Amino acid sequence: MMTPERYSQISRIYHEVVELDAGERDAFLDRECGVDEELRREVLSLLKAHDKAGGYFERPAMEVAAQLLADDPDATHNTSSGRRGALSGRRLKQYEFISLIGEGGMGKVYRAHDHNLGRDVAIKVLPPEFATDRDRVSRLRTEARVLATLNHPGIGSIYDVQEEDSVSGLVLELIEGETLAERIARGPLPMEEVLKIAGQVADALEAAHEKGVVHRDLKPANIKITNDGRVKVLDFGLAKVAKPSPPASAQAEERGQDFSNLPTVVSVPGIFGTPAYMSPEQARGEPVDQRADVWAFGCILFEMLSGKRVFQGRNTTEILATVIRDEPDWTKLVRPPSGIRQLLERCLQKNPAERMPNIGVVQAALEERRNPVTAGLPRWQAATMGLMALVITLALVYLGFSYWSADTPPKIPRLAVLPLRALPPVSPESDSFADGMTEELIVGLGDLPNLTVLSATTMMRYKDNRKTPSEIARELNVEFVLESSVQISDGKIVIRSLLYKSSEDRQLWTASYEREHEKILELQRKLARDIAAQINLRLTPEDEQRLATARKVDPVAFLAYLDGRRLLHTRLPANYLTTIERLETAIKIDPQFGAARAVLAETYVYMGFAQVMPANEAYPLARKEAQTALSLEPGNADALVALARVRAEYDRDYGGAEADYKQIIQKNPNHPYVYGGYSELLIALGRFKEALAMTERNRELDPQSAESFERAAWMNYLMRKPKTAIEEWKRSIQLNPDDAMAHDELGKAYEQDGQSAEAFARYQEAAAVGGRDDDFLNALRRAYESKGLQGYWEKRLELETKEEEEAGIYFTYNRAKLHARVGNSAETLTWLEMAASENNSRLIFIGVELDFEKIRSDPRFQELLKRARLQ
Amino acid sequence: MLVAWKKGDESALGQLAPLVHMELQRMARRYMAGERAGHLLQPTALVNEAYLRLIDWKNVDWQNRAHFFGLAAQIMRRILVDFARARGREKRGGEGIQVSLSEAANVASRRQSADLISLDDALQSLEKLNARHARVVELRFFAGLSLKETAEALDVSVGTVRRDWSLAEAWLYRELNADKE
Repeated sequence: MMTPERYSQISRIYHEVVELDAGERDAFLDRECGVDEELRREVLSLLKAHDKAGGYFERPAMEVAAQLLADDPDATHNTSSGRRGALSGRRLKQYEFISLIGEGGMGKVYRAHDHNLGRDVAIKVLPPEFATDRDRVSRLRTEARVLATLNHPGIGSIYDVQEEDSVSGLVLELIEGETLAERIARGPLPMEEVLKIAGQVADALEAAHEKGVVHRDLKPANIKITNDGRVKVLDFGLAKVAKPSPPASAQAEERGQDFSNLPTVVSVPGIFGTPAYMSPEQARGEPVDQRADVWAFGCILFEMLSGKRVFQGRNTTEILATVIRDEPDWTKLVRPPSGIRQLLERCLQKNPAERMPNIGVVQAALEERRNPVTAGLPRWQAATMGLMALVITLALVYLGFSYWSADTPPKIPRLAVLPLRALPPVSPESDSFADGMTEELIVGLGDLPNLTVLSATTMMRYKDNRKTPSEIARELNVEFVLESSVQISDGKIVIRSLLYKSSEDRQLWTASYEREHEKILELQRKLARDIAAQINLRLTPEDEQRLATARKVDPVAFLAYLDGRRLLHTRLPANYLTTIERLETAIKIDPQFGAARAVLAETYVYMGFAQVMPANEAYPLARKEAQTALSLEPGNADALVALARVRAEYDRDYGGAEADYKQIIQKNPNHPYVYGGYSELLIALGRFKEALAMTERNRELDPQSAESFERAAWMNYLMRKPKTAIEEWKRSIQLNPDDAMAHDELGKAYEQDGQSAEAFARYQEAAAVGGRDDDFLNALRRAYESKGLQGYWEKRLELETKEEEEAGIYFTYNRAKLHARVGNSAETLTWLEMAASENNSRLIFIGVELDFEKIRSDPRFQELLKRARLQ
Repeated sequence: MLVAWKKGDESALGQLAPLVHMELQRMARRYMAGERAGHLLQPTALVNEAYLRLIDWKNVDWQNRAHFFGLAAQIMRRILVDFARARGREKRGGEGIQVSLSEAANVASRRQSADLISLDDALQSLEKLNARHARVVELRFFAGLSLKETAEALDVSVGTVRRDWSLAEAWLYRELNADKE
């Protein structure tokens, strides 16, 4: 009986003997083993085995196992002699297999002839070794059903599903032409062709995503270009269908395109996809969503332009490591147009949260690139441009191209300014000074050219956090992080700052500033100048001039101003009155304080827009304050934005407002609040793609603000893309869970998607978040239970009407929308007319609101459109 | 540091299994096309790949890496042996577990290959006699690690690994070929 002790004894002797020459072995064994013949035999037999065993384990187990598979005649029908394939010549019902045309891990694709319809088709068959694999078969069925719902010219169609005992297959549209991979192998593509192909791919993906389908294996080999230049996305074999939301109630089953009865595609965690196009999250085996396709799209775009893959390596491991770790090598792109380069950067963000959130946004950016002139103009103007304009367009496109051929513009660095930390002695005052100063620094630095400064809304989320600058840099994808502390004592302010550079992982610079209270602006500008120098920004003489001069401010006024500004940007209606009070205090002490007046103007705009104050009171006040602010401080961006909003939302001078917005963006590309107003204007005009692009820019500056998600969500809802809208609302709610409006709108997106139960749950959640009592909730529940959503809306209209009448406040526009939901056309029109008579700012949206579609042709509604200058 | 695989090898198995199966398919196809073994993705690379997926590899220290390889080797062993067993059962209607291995099409020398299933049994006996020797076989043969990597994974010297390997190899060979002697 062999025991560990015995084994160890054998082992010891064996190792010594192995080292000896043959002649010495016997004597040694005699000595060591003595009379233990058994021991001697063991060692000798092992020595013999050792001599024979050489190379026995040389081939790793993997190869042995693979050999097993290779030697198995049934394992695969592939013959080494050619591409005919085992099924060629065989017949499955009316389909005759002709030749093997493609092969992937998930199956083989044959060209076949359909004798019934007399046409050639493609048939994708499961490899026979998987024909009985339930997982594979169910995945094949899923692919079939996914394709059946994706009726889009850019996606290969499915004709039929065949299942016989040994062969399961999909009968697909046969697409003749070359794959994008083959096209790229011939070299980089010209820009026009790239834009054309990319646009069509994005279009197809958008359609898939809207159906809740993520492709997950997008790559050039899965994209076919037909002989007449059309693009088809193929191979949804790895596609993932978004899981239906949890309470799949009776209503949910009525939906035509519901995948809830399909098996979940991903039964094994992990590794689907092709390494070179796999997003980092996919490579890590984390769950993926549509943003993985956005990543792959970026890889493909890069490859079309450069002719080379973005992420390369000698083997899968190396490729995956590159995907996870390395930045794309931008030098492989020969002089890419700046817009395309930015688009690529946004698609190839390692962190999905930082990536372009959906392909629709990519589409918008591409469109802007394809149509550099018309994209900026309102639709009616674009339409009437005529031939002359066409000539100009061509000239500009030409100029655009020659501009592109200039050297690649350097990457614009991104800076995150962490909330200032108040050092002892800490008081509520010093704390709010620190917060206000944070915002002030951000705005001040944001004025610097060629620097992107993340907005205060995003940065305030990092207050009191314990993350290191390097963690924050990674999270926000910024090159620089500014960390500062502030100390207020004896009439002096001390600010200590540290600038961290992520690419070098080190503190680039530290400094300490001490100033009298009243010279706080001077301090702020000095800090901005120093940072510009550290980051190597080239300042224009005007910038230098502006940063060198600073007026003195009264400390109390300044503090009040900082407070007001910060409160305003919490965007909580409850804060508006305090905001006004703080700003008026500042102005009372220092009537020449232009910045404070500008923020006051902004406050009035917000109040008018949110219908907290009647429009015809709020907007004129806003205009007055903004104009005063500009006379005191020419070029103040806050004041300019306020004026543009007055123009759009009150004067209804849409063209003028748009020109204003464009001018502000050109001068202050980092001013986050300009994008909000501009996006809203674009939405009102029905220019959703441009609005999405603006929202996207906003998101770059302000990645953690709920506002841009809200806007994107709403646009998707208006474009009838409920699935995307739902996702965006969820993200916005994550950032701002107390926003009742967001819950309510999420409900509407669910309703649009046909998910009644889920919609009702969200409406109730909105009411609960909004502070409604149990009676209110119960009444609505009973209405819903007896008469569904129709009953719900009727009840809600009744309850809200009663409430408003008791309080004596009328939200005219909201009331119109409620009546529209219930289906009361006459009342809807009446309330809209009332909204028009008070010049309600929301009226700019009546042209796009889905609620009003039913009454669109009514002459009264047409009259309203005219009054809102939307026609 | 919290890394996925610490939660237990079941999840790690889930990560590795599909990789291994896909790679097996790929390798088998290449064998049939007559390609040489040297061009194939090595098991180490697979383990590395799984490793990349499972952890934020930048933050991992050597200790954990070693631990991971040890675990991965055991998992590879289970996957491959199960695979061989499943194929054996298919072929023989469920009775035998012995799978005869034909000569590799691409191997010029008439080298023998180990029968994975018998090897697994023999390895189980060896484990009881000397666990480290069994680990060495797992790391070298199943995970494809080099002598040096194996030494690092086990935190012993390369010399020790070489000696362990030499004896374990002889031992297993003798066990597996006992009836032929």
